[in-house]
Amino acid sequence: MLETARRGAHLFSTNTGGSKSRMYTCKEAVDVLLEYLDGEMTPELKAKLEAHFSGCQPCEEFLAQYRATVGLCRKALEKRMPESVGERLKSFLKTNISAKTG
Amino acid sequence: MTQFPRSSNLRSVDAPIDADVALVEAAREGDVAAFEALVDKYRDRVYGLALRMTRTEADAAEITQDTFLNAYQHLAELQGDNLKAFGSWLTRIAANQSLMRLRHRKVASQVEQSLDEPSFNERGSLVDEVADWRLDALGQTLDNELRTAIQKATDELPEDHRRVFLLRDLDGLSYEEIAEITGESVPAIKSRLHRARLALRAAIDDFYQDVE
Repeated sequence: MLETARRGAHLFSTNTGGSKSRMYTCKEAVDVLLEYLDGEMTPELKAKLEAHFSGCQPCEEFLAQYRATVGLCRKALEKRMPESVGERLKSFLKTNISAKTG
Repeated sequence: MTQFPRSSNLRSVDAPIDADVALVEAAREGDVAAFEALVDKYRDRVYGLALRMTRTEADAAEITQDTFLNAYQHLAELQGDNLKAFGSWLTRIAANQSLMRLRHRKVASQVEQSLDEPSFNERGSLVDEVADWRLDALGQTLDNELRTAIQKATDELPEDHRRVFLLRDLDGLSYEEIAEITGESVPAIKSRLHRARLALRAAIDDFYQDVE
């Protein structure tokens, strides 16, 4: 088993008895990351999740990566219009807008 | 036929921009230079959205032309507070144009692909090794190989996941705006976005694991 699992496994409850007060498992924590980052969790569930993060380093790191993924993708997929395309756009709009308004 | 975003449902992803309001009002009065100023400001955003969605430079250039021309022809629809949401409104027109272009393509039937998701043991604990790359997101430059890896991973997402990820995380549309454009439900959009992010995180993590 990987070191990550060993580090994480003992840090949170694995009780699956269905009690409302039991802590999140890592899987449950990952499943609600979107809701968490969108600020759509109830205060109680948010506190429960944050309690899990504070006791589980792999999940805390996973959360940071999940957040960072969006920023990295934005940088990687950024596109700029080439100048030649920009010139054609200007010319197209000049012709069509002038025709419309003129 | 082009579907224009309903002005009553606009939600700006930008801070209110007074300069845009003045330019839109001037353009509506026939000031072509004012509209050209708006084009200069937003052309990269529109072209970027179209290129990411269609992955074809020729299509992206045409969509950009159509988007600005259609926006010009419908400037009168922007009224009141919605005047401040020109950028968001334009983005939605570009998204509509791009999706229409994609729908017209002969697309092979979509097969549900498996996406990379984190691994858990039987107790629900994470078993993935986690490389420490999160700080790279804060840096100013991006390694070209990483850029290529992210592009490839994005291209490999199932089309409905890729579309939602791009519209939400790259182009800043709200869930409701995406639902209006795509006809999908908000819960389905959220689920696809989450799975897309997980798959991209895994791809980036794989890249760093290979580098180490």
